[in-house]
Amino acid sequence: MTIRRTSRYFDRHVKQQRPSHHKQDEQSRAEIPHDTELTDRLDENVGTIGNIYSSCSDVIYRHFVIAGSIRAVMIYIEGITDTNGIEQFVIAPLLKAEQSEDFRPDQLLQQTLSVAEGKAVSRFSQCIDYLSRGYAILLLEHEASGLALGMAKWEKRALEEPAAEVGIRGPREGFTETLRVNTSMLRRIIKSPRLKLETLQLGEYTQTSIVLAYIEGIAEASLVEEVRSRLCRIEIDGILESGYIEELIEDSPYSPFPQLLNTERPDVTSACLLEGRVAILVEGTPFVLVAPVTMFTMLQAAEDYYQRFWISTITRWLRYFFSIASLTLPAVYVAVLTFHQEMIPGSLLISMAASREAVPFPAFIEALMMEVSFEALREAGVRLPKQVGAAISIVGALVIGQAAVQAGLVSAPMVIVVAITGISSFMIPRYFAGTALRMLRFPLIILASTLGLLGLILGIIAIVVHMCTLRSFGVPYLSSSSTPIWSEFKDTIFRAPWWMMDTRPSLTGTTNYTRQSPNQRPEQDRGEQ
Amino acid sequence: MRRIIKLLPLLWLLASSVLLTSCWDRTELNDLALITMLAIDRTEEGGIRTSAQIIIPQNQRSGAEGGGGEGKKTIMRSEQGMNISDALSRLQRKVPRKLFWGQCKVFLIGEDLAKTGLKEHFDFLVRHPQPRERAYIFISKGPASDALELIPPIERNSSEALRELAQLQISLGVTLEETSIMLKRDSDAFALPYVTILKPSKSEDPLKTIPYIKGTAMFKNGRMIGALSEKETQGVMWVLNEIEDYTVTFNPEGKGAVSLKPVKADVKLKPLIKGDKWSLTVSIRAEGDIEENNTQLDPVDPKIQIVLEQAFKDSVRKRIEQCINQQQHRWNADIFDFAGVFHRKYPKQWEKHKGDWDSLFPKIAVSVQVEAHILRPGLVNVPGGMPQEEVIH
Amino acid sequence: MQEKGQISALQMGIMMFPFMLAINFLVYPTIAAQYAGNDFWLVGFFHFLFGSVIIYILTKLHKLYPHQTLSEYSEKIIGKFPAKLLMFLYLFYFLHSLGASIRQYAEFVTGTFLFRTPILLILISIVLLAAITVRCGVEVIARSATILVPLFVIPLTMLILLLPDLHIKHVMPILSHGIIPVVKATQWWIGNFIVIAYLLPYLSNPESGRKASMFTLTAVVVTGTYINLLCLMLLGPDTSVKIYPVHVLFRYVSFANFFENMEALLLVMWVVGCFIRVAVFYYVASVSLAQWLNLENYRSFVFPLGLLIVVFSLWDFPDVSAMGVFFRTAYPFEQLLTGLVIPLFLLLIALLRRKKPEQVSVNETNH
Repeated sequence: MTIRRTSRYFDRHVKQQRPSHHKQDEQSRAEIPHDTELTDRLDENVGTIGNIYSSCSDVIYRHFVIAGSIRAVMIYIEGITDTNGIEQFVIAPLLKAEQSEDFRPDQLLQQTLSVAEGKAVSRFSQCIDYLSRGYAILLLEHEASGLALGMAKWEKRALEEPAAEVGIRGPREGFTETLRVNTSMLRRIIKSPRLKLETLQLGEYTQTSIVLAYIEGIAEASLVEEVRSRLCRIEIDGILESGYIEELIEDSPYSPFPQLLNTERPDVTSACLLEGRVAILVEGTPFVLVAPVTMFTMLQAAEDYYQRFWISTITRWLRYFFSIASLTLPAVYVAVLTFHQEMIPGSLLISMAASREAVPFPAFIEALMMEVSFEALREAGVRLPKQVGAAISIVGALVIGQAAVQAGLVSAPMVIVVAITGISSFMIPRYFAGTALRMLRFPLIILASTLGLLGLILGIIAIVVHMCTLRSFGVPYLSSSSTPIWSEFKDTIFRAPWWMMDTRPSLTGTTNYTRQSPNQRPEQDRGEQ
Repeated sequence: MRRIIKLLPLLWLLASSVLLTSCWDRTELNDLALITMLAIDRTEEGGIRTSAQIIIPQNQRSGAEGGGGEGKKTIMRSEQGMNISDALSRLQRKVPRKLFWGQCKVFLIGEDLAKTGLKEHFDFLVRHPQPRERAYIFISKGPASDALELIPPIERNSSEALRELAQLQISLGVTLEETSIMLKRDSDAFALPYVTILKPSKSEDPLKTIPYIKGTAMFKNGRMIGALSEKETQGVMWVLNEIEDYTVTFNPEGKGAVSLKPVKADVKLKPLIKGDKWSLTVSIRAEGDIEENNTQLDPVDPKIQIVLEQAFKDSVRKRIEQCINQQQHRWNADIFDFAGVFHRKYPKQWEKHKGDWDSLFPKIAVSVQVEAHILRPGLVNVPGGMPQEEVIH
Repeated sequence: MQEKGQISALQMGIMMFPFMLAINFLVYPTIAAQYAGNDFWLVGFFHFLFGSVIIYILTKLHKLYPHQTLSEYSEKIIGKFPAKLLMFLYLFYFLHSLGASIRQYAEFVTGTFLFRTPILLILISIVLLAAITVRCGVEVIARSATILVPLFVIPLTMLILLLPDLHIKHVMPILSHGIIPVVKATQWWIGNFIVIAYLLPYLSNPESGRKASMFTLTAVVVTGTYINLLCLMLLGPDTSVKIYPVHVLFRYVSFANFFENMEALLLVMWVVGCFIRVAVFYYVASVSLAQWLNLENYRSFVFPLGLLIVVFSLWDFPDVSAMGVFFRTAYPFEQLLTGLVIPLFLLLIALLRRKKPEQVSVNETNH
């Protein structure tokens, strides 16, 4: 199997990292007495936790006495715990409690405390674990176990339209930084209990929650297992964004092409899940990873599925055409202009010669210069505060475009080529797939300026070959174009109408191949009536 | 990471090799002298003189930007040598930029050279990778280089003027490749367009004119043997089935002229060998619209239409018969490739008589059958500029 | 097994299409026209005949010895030592063909596009690219070939634009000199089909191998005839004179006065086609060498073999005219021998051995 082959690579990768990481593990264990049980002395317990959280000003210890006799301590981290809730639903009932009541932790949960989630904890490691996730820990005198109360609450960003993937039609909400909000959005779309959301914590210090989402019965079990095992291999100090995970689990780490899809849209994620793919949600980032993907997934926009299929199909062709253009256009221009001038139609050649007459640079230097400055403008545009964005666009358009041409530094055709290339690379719905293509055009320009079209074609062949060696979790990156399966073309080269897409993509969803019942073309019903 | 670092020197090597390779095939557009037309003449000593019309890129800007745009758009440089290649390499010494004639779409050959033989010099045009097979070839009356110095008032340069004329299909337009095939076909004769310089109108600068296609130059055994007039060329084009956009004017019953524009003309050559007698039927189907009617005849009248059609037929037939007759008896040059027509139909007989085609060709009995129709009268029915009473019905 | 990857029969068919046509489509119209005059477009008939026989023989052999390449089953058929000798011949043939292929490729590029670029660079660049691909295995070759095939086919369809310039009269008279010149003009390059003997074992659906090969053969013959007819109808008697008639076709295209000079398209399809051809041939040569030396993995000597190929390409021919002489004289016999005679002879012996008691063959297949 192909999956096995890729994991072999991973073994090697992990083996190199492991020794150093073990050392770190032992160190941290020495600091935090993970495995120590809570004792029945309250002061000792609080002291231990206080030691662990020394110099942590955000940890609050609230001492109080229940029923006049039993001392208790409430420990929580300010800012991620609901202080109001603690006052109202935990401390208030406890203070009002009568002496006759049972104050064992499990009894408290059942009788006195009005909180939705509460768990008994008996180890310090558990306490710390819960504290860091916003739980409040209640410790009682003479009890060797405490209570972790689910009072987590922190400031959240409101649901907003995804910034990187905008569309005209389709849902406008995007994922947020909060994992549970994100999973809830998935659950709201896919209500079946077969949507599985497996949670695991990664990152030695960050303890980032990661959810592996898939639909049981559609996603292949071997794929889920492979993703799970690759995730479990990760041993890292912290995970701040899903990009960390992406780089740690992908098949070909040196490739410029993204081998996992990252999306901000719950609808895209759900669609992928329904096709038998697996999603990885990471706490703290709105970007969800989806695997396995092919090059075509990168070129599909969510909107493709919401518009009329003719329009989507034609838009896709346009997108394919321009993504190839964004890769090759400047290189083609350089090759033709400096090697194969006879291929330019006569009158065009004359006007090009006229416009290039004053340009002091060789064509390929000109191309590189313009492309690099375009990239700089783009990068600056991303990083710029919004207020100065307008200024940059004016400077960019005027200085790079108009003034440079008028000063005779660059020729007008070159500016046109760069502009078309730049625009066409943004036609790719996945920003980072577009970036890969944009970066690859630099080597192509260099090849084209060395060997003309020959070099360009050799470069393209090399890219094609490289893409053919790529796999995303066992699925060939260029599948369905490199293995001509006609049924696959319905959602790659074309966008077939929904009533024709009766099967899932065969490369990801063979366990449950049928998507819907056949013969749903509206006309057929009408004919029968 | 280590792998990436290992690759760095390799990348550097590649990058620096780019700078080294400027000595290969890369040529900037700024270093090219774009040739639009090449003229080839024979010198008095028997050598070759090539003249090139070269674009001046600085003067090409048109429209709003062209402030002081009175500069010449092209220049002419010429040089002689033993053959074309030699002359061109000498010409290169006089041009500071690399001669580039990948876009050279017109080759003009002087009459002198054509008369002493085109065959030998044609080789260069098909062997060298730069001349396009689709470039047009013309024979010029007088020295070919004269046409290069003209400043056409409408077109960008005289080469473009010639090319546009050849593409209009009013007169013959022959490409290099077609010439190359004609030099190898069964018949040893062929025709190329014959170019002269148009006389400029009185107010114009004598150079502000264009070369235009006046007639046909006939070649036999790769040597020019004579030229046909404009009118005779029409006959040739009828037989070659290249008539496309040509107006036929004829005199029905000697009462003024009528002009027809053939919409469609279909010419078929049907060879026949009966015993020793070789004969050929030229059958023509022509259809056309009336463009002008100077007579008093009403072309919508069916009776008169028959008269007109008959006159049309006669006119076409006469022209063709005359033309073929002339070729057979005056020039003995089979520029229509009748030889090929016989070869395709009668390969065995052809093999036998291949050698004596020269004596056979004048003896071929040619009959011309014309079938002509007048399709539409145009926008008016009766003669346009005439009171109703004068019209003959 | 030297290869763990698997390709589908359809992929093999698609991959074989540019493999067969690349190089050949550009050069052979000339040689064929030199032999058969205006009848050379009829050679497709003989190609089809000859090709089907080869495909029949090779698929039959493959059925008798499934999952084995030519090198492997020839040992079973004629014994270890004679087979090694025979396979050395084949190895040599593969290397020689590879050398000839890339030399022709480079000659065309330097002769018509990049006049001053050193030929060695052009040779090495394609061999290096092919070597990297070959190391990735047959799957990657097949997949890249499938993606690149449109680049090979689309330029050919653009030649339709020549329609107004074609003259049917050049085709006449048909067969005025009889059929013999056409047979001579056939050139037998279809014998290259021998490489499927090394691809059939890696098919995921071997039963469709014959169908896919026949499909390719038909496509090759149809495309070849299409190109030949275009050459003939445009160039007529000039076909036999041009070194690269198809190049002239592409240069001659002119549509709306703007789509002119389309030789760039020819360069695209030329490089793509040659790349696929070299990659497949290279792969076959590497596998056969590995099997000749009884090695488990062919990947380790892909690069050294590449050096050898470059050297072969330079040693094969001193210049273009020597190349022409070789392709006119020795090449047809080489193709007939390697493509038809030896496989036929192997098949006959194999069939004879099969008729012997069952025991023998069972023993052999167990090895």
